[in-house]
Amino acid sequence: MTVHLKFRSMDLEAMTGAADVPNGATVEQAVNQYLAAQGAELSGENLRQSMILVNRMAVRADQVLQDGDEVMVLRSVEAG
Amino acid sequence: MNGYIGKMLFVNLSDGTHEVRELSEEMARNFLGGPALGARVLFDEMPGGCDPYGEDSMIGFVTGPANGTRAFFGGRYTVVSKSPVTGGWNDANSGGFFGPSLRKAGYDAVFVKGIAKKPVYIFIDNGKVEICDAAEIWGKTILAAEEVLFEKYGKQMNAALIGPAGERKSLMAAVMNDGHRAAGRGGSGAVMGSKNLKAVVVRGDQKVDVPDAAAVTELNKTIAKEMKEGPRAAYAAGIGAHGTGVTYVNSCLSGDASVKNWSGSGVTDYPEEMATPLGSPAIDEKYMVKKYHCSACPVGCGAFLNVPSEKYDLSHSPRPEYETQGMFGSQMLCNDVEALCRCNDLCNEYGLDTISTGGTVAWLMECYENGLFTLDEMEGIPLNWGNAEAMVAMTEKLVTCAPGLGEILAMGSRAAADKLGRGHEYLVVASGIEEPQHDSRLAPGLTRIYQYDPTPGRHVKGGYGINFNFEHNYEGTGEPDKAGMIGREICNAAGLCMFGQIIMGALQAELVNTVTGFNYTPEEYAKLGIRSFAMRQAFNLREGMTRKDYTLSERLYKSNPPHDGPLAGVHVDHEKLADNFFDAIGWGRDGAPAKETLADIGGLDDVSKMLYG
Repeated sequence: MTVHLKFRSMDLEAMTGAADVPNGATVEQAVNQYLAAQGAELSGENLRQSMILVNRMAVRADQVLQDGDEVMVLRSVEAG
Repeated sequence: MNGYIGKMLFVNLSDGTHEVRELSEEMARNFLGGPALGARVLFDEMPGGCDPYGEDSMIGFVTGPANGTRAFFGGRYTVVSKSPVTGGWNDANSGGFFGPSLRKAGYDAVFVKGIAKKPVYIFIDNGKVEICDAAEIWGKTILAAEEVLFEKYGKQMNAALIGPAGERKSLMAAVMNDGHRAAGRGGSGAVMGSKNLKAVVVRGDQKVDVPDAAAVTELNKTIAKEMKEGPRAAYAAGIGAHGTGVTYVNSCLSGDASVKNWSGSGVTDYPEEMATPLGSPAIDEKYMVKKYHCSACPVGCGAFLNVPSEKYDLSHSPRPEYETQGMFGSQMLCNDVEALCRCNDLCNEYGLDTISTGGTVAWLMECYENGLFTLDEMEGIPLNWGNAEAMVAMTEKLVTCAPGLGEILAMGSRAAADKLGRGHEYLVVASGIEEPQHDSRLAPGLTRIYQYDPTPGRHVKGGYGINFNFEHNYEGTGEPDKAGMIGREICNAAGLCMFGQIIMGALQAELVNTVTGFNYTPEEYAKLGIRSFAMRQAFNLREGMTRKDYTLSERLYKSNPPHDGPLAGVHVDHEKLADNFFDAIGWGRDGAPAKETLADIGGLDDVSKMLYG
């Protein structure tokens, strides 16, 4: 199945694209697969500290994805 | 004494006298500087229960030992006073160059009591002190007043000053410096205005000694390496490139920033395509003309913009900070850069805190949207969600304290609700202070800070902070909350920038020891942080404030307005967080330090006597 991923963070800014992942893949699995293909990575701990939205709703990293899902990973930061 | 000038100036505006007192090594070692030292002095000098606007009330301008030493991030100073909003302790810090400049002028701190018979400013010239007639600058906006002072005293001059809002005692009045830097929160600008004090003007060339100047240089190199290669390298690069607003779009989508006066969610009400034009990367690409660094800062998170506008002069506008972007952006469903910059400039010119200003206008916007006020009562301004023109118009009324609605709004949302007799259900305040653009339902660690820091409603005070805890598991929060509090208390007392503290992490302790030579052990460092927190809170305890007096709005913590998105249905167990924190720092559950804790941390015998006899 195909899912669409977008990363918004200071270290993974402007990364967006689609990934073909196996049926039943979780968010974490899709993220790892996509980033590996881009030569990047996001540790599990950092992923769990991020806000993950699937189709604009907040979910956890172990959420199982569906075909066509839109995944956004927002890295949290402290700002002024 | 290394790290200090060793002198504090005390001015009495009622009789026009001043005296210089020694800053003893014992006091410096026990309280360091900034809000901790300020709290010690104000606790000693002011009587409990005094009127924030009375003769006995004091306002202080307090540096930290890092100011003027070339140590990285050592550019911040603190304004201290009794808050006319909360009735308790107030401290707010500001960057730029005033702190180091005050030290060059010959003092570690200036404390002012009394009320001048007519508007004055204090001029400190390499140690010499003069109280001057402020007729020429009273009534002027910040830049206009600074222009007069530069003409008079030259480009080496620096000043901490109030704008017309402080003169009129707006409860959101800030103490400004360097044109656009603000010690914004808690109403210290109003206290300054109540004294008829327009400015503290400084000029000088004195130097601050440190034990080993070469060690400061070496430490700066280590910090620079940490900035490039450490765990916060991406963070440092991000805010260096685009300032605090680099996170704006993320924050709108994640639930960090408030949307629609805390009633909406970014994914539904303010999605990515709306937020992006107001994010700093987009703003910088179109409008940035140059960066701005505070004193001794290697990051430089500030900038100036040139925004073409037919209505306003935005040719040299300071880039709005994240808080301001949120308040005049997602908070009111606006994404107009011109309007954002205009509101930011208005707050800078008239001298107000952008968080409380935006929060108050947003509160009124929701009231109007829900039919609590007629258009007539809004003085003809249709303050609807997303109406940028109306947002600017109402902000103009507020900052100028315009007769009618403007002067009511200038007292803040809680006072406005009380005066107008409506809208309390839409307030989002912590003990009367408008909450900032970090929703504590997303980062519950902030709830304890917003509610129970001696200065409520601040996102820049220390604690568990912005640790996103999506599980909302409140076990074991006490120790990290305590550790966060200690680090930030010392950061503020030392005169350091909190972004520097975030970037350099454990190097902060080394920096403090390097500039002072105090060589605090880890245990002494921890006690220093807790002592600072205790001293600030002692001021509140003497005012009779107990745990029950620190309030949060029903809106976020009890009634959770209906909306979807990441925060739907979230309730924060804020009292559990507070219990954990008070247990961890050795306070009672009533929010007062235990006698044994005071004995252990030392330096507060008078506080112990006040509480326990």
